[in-house]
Amino acid sequence: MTEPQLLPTPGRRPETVSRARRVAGDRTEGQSYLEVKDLTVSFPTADGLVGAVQGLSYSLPLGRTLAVVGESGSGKSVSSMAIMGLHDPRSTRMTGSITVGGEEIVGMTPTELRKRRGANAAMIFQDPQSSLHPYFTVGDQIIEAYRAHHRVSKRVARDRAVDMLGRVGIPNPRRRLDDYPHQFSGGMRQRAMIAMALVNDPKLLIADEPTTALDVTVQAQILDLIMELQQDFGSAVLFITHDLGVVAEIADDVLVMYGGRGVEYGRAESILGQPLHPYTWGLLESIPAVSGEPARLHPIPGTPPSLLALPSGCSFHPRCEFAGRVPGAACSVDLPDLVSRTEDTTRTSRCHLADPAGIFATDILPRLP
Amino acid sequence: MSTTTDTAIRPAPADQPGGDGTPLLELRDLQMHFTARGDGWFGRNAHRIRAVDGVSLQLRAGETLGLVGESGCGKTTTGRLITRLLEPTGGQVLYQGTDITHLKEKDLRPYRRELQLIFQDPYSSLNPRHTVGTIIGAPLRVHNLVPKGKELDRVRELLEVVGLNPEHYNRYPHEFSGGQRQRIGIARALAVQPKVIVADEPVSALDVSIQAQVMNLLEDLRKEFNIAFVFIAHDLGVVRHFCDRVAVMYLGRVAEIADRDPLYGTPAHPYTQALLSAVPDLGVVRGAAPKPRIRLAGDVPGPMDPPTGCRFRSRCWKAEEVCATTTPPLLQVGAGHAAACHFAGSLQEEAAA
Repeated sequence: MTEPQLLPTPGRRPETVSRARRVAGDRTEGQSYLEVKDLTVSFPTADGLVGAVQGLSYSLPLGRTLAVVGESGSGKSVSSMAIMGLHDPRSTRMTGSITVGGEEIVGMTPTELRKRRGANAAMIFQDPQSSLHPYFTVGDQIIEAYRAHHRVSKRVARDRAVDMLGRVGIPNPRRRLDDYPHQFSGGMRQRAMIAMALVNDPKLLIADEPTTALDVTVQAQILDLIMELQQDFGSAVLFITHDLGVVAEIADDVLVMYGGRGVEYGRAESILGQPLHPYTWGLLESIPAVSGEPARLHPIPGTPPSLLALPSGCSFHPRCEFAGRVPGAACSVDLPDLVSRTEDTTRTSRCHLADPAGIFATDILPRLP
Repeated sequence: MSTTTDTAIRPAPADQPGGDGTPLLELRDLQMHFTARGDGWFGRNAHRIRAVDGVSLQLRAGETLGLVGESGCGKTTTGRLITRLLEPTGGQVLYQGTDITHLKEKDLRPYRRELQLIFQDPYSSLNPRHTVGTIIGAPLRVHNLVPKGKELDRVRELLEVVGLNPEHYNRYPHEFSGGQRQRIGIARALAVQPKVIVADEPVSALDVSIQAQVMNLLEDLRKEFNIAFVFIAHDLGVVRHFCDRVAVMYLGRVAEIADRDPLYGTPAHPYTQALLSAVPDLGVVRGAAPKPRIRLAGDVPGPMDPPTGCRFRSRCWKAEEVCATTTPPLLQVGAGHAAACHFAGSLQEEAAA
């Protein structure tokens, strides 16, 4: 074990917030690096067509972190795997457009995809145990990732791997390079995964629940590491999670997904402080807080919808306690558009409630912990 | 803070079954050392894994005690020792003053009725080949609780109690969602009308919205049937929500134990402080003051070869020489509040400041 050390970073949090504000200020400058437009991903199965992602659009500029939030089956992982071109074209139907650094991903051949995968965009997975190959040393795997995109000697690649392992905070990297994944602890494996993902200086890093399998103290280390590396490399980070606490910690922007669609998008402070969609309200009320007076939780009734048969109209309406406030049966008939209802045109929500902020102030805010 | 909570730390009073001073459940210096096969001749270099190494806890009727800690801290093993799914290698488990530590299966059976377990994974803890009715009815048959022919009525009743459709008794587990399966597991535990339920991470496999539903259900059941809970979880928010008293475990030992508010408000053990500061907090975006951050280096060491003295010292920023040589005892630092740290008092002042 390394020397015990305390890494107090007083004022760390205000710093990250101010970073978000600063970048948000020059938003016009930020050319979006990742552009997803009207993406639809569906899988034909024996039971019918599973519409995992439907009409999803968002963009992500360099230097920013977008958190994609949702429960299982919301399409958050499927959409991010589509960006990496990880869906088998033989069993997936994909329409719409994904551009990474100006290049269209949808419809690319597997060979073209392989050339780009790991170079412009790289991905970190949830379970570091199963995403490292147990038969090869950690070093071999990082070196392979580097040499796949760079014509360099093994020696150069090895130095690069040592460099990366050191950078993600693995002590004694030159010696640990020849260890097998099972000789690493869970947190170290996730660090090695991050080193492998960043070895080619990708401009886009996709992190799919990278800390869900880790303990809280280790999770805090990994989140700090990802934020630090992002600032160093200036890359765009797409962070998939179901934990709103983690979102508060790292995200600049947030996209909330439900039933394969985006239901709310905006800056993190705004989504968590002034949510405009009943589903986001429900999520926030479902989390027991670590501070404040414990109150009875206010869960969302029912279960997430089956992607085989989404409810008509707004997919959330069967679970929504405010559906009755909308005149007529609009919620069960018409799918609301993802549109802005505030001065901030980038702040959007998909809900028929004409003035959701009103209900938020009168009904929801008093209930929040 | 009542005086009864103080007994959590004091040596237990003399055994008086049914007497006022006797806790419902008591663990005394409980140990569970597993032997891992070694790599020498016939496994000669065998290692001892000290999964639980001297845990003393008390649980009163109707109380909820939270066990928190990171993976490998022994919280699950403790739960399995309480329910006697494992036989301890040292120490004692007392249920209503009766020593059940080494009881044989036959003698243990009446106690199994009183001590039930809810498992973490609702997928692997239900037999996929049995209908829900068979699953929930099994404990009723084993303990001969209902006359033949009345079993189904009781199963339906239980399904209704946990918020499932009572007519679904004929369905198989795969026809239910994760949250519903967890409800089936809860109904199975309730079937025998237990006095203590050990809930081992009952909501951690569930989605946030479903997690809140199950938490509310557990809370209702606790109030309605006055069941004492040992609630094992790694999520500090969930534990804070559900538990009256919380024990923080680290590498097989209790690092700190206190009532909920003192534990979360003025933690005395550096590990508890670090754990609390590592939890991502939503409050900040709503304008709460950012809390000080303590970042621990490294991971939890393996229980095969734990550090000498204080087990937390390898990751602790307060560690001094005394920590390596002397194991800090669990000492009282406040009413019903004990911590196993040489510097507990001064740290608590810092936390309060």
